[in-house]
Amino acid sequence: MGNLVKIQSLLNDKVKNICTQHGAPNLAGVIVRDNGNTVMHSVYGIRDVSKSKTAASNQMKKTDYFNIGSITKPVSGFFMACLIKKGILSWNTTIEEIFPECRSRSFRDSNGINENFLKTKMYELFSHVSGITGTYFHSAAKDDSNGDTDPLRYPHDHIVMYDVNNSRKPEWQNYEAMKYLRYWYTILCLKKRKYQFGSNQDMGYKNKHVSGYGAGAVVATAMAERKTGKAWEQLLDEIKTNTLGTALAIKYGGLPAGAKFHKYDAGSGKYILNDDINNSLLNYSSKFPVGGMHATVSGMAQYIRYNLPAINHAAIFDINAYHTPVTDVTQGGLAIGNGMYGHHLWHTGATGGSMAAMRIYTNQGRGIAAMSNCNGDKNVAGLLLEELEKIHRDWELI
Amino acid sequence: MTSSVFSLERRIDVFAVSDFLPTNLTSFRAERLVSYNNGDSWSANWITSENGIFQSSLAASATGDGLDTFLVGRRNDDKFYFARLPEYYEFRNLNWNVIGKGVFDGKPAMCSYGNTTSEWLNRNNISTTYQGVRVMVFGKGRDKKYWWASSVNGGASWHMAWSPIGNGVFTSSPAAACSANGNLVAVFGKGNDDRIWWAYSTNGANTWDMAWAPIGKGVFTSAPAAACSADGKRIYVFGRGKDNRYWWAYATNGVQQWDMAWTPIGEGVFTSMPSANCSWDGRIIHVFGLGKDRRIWQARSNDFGASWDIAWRKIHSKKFTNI
Repeated sequence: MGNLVKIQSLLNDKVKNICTQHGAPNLAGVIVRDNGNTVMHSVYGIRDVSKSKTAASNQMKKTDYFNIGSITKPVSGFFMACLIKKGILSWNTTIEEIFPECRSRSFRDSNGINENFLKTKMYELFSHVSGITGTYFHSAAKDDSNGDTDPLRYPHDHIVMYDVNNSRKPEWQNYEAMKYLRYWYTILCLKKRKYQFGSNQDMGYKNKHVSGYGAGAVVATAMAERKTGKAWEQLLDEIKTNTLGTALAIKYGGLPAGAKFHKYDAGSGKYILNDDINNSLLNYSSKFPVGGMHATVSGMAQYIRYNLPAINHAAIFDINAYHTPVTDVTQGGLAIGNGMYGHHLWHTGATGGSMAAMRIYTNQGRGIAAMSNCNGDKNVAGLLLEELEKIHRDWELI
Repeated sequence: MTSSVFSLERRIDVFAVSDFLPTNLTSFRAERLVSYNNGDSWSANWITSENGIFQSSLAASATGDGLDTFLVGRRNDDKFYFARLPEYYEFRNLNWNVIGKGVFDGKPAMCSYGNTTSEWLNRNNISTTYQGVRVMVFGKGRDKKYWWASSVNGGASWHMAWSPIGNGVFTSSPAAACSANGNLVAVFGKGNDDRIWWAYSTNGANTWDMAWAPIGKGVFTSAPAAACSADGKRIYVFGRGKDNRYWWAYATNGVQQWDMAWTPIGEGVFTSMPSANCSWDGRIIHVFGLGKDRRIWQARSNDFGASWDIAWRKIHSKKFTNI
């Protein structure tokens, strides 16, 4: 049994040192061990680099949120698992079952969609095996004989975010617009060819010949919206309130409490606000199910605990049904294990103003995560993650 | 007075024009309001386009995938001007281009089909082609005949502008609708006898199978509005009757016959021509018009017009002038 006081002190030092050494605005680390019975975390830094570094009101606290980037994908899969537990959908529900209009030739003619994805299943949309590409571009794959598919026009809310003065901005800030945009995104995805990985930029997903970008998770949420008539945001709120029973400190929308996204300014060698993201449209982002969720350290710890099979969460969701299609390497899941570290599932995340990394060793009953609301220069989340691994290895000696 | 487009059974864009110089009623600017929930609720405010001053109301259409919206209006030189609005367009700053040299009375009509395709140019840029996106615009010439123009690249250029459709002459502006594959093209107008007449093509307007024939015996006081399903089998036509109510007719088997012509939609009375659109399968139908209070009202059916769950309801408090 390690000395928890010393371990906490060491954890605090690691977080602080990496953060200050690389000039990052903030950084957080999470360690979950002993089948979830031991949870340690540390937060360091400030919320907003444009404000006083010493003001108490600008210090990041344990209750502050960090954007988790693409870790949002498996988190969205977790929320979907909760809906599936309620019998609303299943992992094998197909696109055409939820959107039967796609079976109609005249509907497909009208929209220009094809039949490539009509039988794509829910679990495939939460993995990298659907062949739906989202916005992904691979320069190597473009000329590869396996081919890259064509891009989506206007694929991302970021186009809206960057055009913050657009007079139409108010019309996009409501859940009805979100439901339209997610269905619209689905239709646009259904116009495409299936992505065929084959280049050396296949992100390691060589387990399947047909693969794709995890943005298929947005299509999955559009399916849930059609099935229930509710926006994905409303469904998440209901799950958090009615199903999880305890406060899961993972949220969508903007970063609360004055926390900001930051990017690295090479000219000054400092991090500055990334105001392309720090705007009110973040509260209504139709693609947030793939990269727009935020977690506190306790929220991330709780998500790791949900993934530890030693803890009985059977009333909330079926962990095996969630892990097998969504995270198992043989299924190409959004959170995958490649054997390098012996962990069962992992994911990284990054936006233009944040970075995060997570590893969960289900068979060892533990997990780690690092998060920062900045992106650029150095991958401080990745650096911290390796230090968290060292702390785990040295646990008994500290 | 209004025009409207319906995308993916959820989004409705309504376009109208408002007085730019109220003293002479010859200068109007385009306005837009949107719903994202099949007309259940509407955005808070109309957005005014600051580019383009018109003497007519606008015609509108959209690609089936919802990526592009097209607008046409008549400016003070009596020529028709076209704008393509690629999503996410800024409505305040539209770019208008003239369609040929034809001059017209009244407002244009428009229909379109086809969708864009895109390719990667490099990591940060894509190339989009509008080849195959067909846009057809119709207007009433000085000779009172209907003339039309055609583009096969989303309005980037017009390979034909302008050609008359038969010898019919009309007392109203036209209406038009086409199927998703473009085979069916149907045009409607109010004749000298105040009945609604129509012409149609079943080969993408290469030739006109029939031009012109009246639809039923109803007589009207406005230009018609028209919509059709993606397969071209359900065709809907609307007009303002002598009682100032909106009446409609429909066909369910394409050009074979009119199953019903005519019956009124609710008790609402109007000062303008109607505008209308429908979902891909024709199940959902939306109709809009200017009420006596100068506000725009809506009707909606979710069952092919068997019933109207909204008939009528104001979409906004803003007042407009009928042109």
